[in-house]
Amino acid sequence: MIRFLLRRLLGAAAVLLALAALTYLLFYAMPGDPAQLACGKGCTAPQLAQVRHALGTDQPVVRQFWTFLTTLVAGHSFSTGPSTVWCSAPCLGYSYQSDEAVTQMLLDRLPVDVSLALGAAALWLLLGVGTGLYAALKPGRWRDRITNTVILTLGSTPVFVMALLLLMGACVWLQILPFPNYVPITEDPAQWAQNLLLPWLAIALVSAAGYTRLTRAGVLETLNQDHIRTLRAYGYPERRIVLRHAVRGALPTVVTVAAMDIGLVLAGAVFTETMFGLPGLGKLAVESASTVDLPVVCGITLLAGALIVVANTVADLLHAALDPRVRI
Amino acid sequence: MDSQTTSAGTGIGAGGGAAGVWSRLWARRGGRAAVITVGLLVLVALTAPWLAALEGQNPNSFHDTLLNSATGGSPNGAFGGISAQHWLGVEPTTGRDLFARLVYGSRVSLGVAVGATLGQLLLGLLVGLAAGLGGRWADALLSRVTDLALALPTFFFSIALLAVVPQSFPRPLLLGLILSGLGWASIARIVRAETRVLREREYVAAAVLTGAGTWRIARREILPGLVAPLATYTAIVLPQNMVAEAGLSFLGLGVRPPTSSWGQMLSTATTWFQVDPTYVLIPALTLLVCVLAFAGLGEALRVAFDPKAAAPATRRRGRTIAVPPPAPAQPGPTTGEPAARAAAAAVTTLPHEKGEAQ
Repeated sequence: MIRFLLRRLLGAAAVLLALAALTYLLFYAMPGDPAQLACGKGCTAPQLAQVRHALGTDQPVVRQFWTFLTTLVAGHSFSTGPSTVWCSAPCLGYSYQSDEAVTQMLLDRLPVDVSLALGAAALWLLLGVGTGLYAALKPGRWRDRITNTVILTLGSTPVFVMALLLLMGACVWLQILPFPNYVPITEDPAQWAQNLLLPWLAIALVSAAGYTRLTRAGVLETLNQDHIRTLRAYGYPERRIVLRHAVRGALPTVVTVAAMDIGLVLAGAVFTETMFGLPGLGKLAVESASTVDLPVVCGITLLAGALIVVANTVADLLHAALDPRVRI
Repeated sequence: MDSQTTSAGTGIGAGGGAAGVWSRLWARRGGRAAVITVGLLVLVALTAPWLAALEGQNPNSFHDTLLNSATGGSPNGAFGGISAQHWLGVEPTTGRDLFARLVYGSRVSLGVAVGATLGQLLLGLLVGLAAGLGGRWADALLSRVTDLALALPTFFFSIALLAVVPQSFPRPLLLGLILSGLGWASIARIVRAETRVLREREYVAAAVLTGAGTWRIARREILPGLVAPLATYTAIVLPQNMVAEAGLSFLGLGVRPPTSSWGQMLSTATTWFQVDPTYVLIPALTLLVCVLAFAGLGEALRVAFDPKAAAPATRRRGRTIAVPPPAPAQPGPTTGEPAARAAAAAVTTLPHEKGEAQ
């Protein structure tokens, strides 16, 4: 267990380091001047030189990358014209466009993504596992066919199309909900939930399909095994066999995939956030990409990579914990 | 934990040749519908100029007279200005013909999707074959690179790259390059796993004994065995690429006006969904139908290539046939075990499930 953890952590660290190098090379060592981009339009020559010095782009690439890494671990000071700003430990750089440390910008946005991920995950698990169990409990050719069609349709819908349709349906035609406008949970939990309902639904509806499949397949596979046959022979009711015993066959896969999916949403649900105007990481990514705010873009890419790597590791651990056949 | 039996691994390969697969594909109603829809889509993309000419419109001329200046430029008439001249109505604020934009947009949407898919296949095949047939070190190195590529937050990368590359670079080409450059890894993984299985077969050993070179073995002995998994996987990644293009253009980072693609149309449509819902629904439903058709095609292909699933799944209470347990889809730096499970997981993956685009 410990060895596995260590190996996984080392592997994750290696992946993150490679990711950082790749991100850095792509965005800072590209032809085109990041200093010019960071400084913005109407930047005078001395300002440009100052920014270039502040960014360190007047130095060789390898040295720049080293500075980038040490900045990440030890912090760094950035001069913003008249004053100097200290950017503390996990420092991802400084955005000259919004005059803020990137780490702080990301931390400000994270609660939105946490809200989004947790609510959506609860919904998609409920929907997906529920329909999967239903499909496994009540087999039948037509029911299977209908479930398959619905699953394929929902699962194939691009999330931005789903979001648009939900928005049009609920807010314009039926007018049962106001247009979402994010309220932090600390301010008003009821408003928070109401405003996040549509975003949750959008993500949950397109994601649930996969869980229906996993649950159904897992349960049906387990139903074929000997211990279930024994239970049947003892005369256990079928419903109890499915809900008590066969579910366990589906559990490890469902939990594993859910952990990875939650990681993905945490890293920024770009479309859902853009569509519903939620101020999360995904929206920030798009905004900073369209204004070419490189430090922010770079920071989000790294954070997203880190979250995905962590989610994958957690998924593997959970899988091993739930399924003793998996050796770690 | 998975055995190494996939359709190719068990030596079934193309399952009775192309004709057999085709007839099995056609025999199912779902497969037939998917093939026809995809065929129609390709036909529309190929004949776009003639279709627009048939309507008597082109995608780029403005029609101010059809717009209501009082509402900020929404089209006159019901359903977004649908009329005998403008079959699907006109675009708000510009009055450009939507049917013409839609059919021309199919060229970009389909072109980028096909181009990106071909790029991914080519890169994936090269890397996968090299890892599968190469020595231990080549395999270790390439597998690590593949793992890394799988762990990349690809969607954020493509957003960032699209932002950094200058606008003068042709966007559809850039989209194709970015999507293929970031999306080859899962194909490489499948190809490597399958190659590892295939190269242990007697007929490959026989080819080695005849003194055939690595390249010849790859081409003549291994490639035919890869047809089945790759064809199925292609039908899965193609709609993913289509959605990715649409999504990036939707965010305003991909194709921009005056060029149209379905994602670009959706992007401009979002500001109008209260006033002119038709404008939103047209590209949204078109995209949905196409993605569905490809998803259906992927599903049908998987069944057509897999003789075990040839009979429709029927079961009585508690007795089950033909529901292959899907292995967990594991993108990310897993242990690089000779996983046929990547292939098994891939073929049971829904188009959007690669995630990130949420």
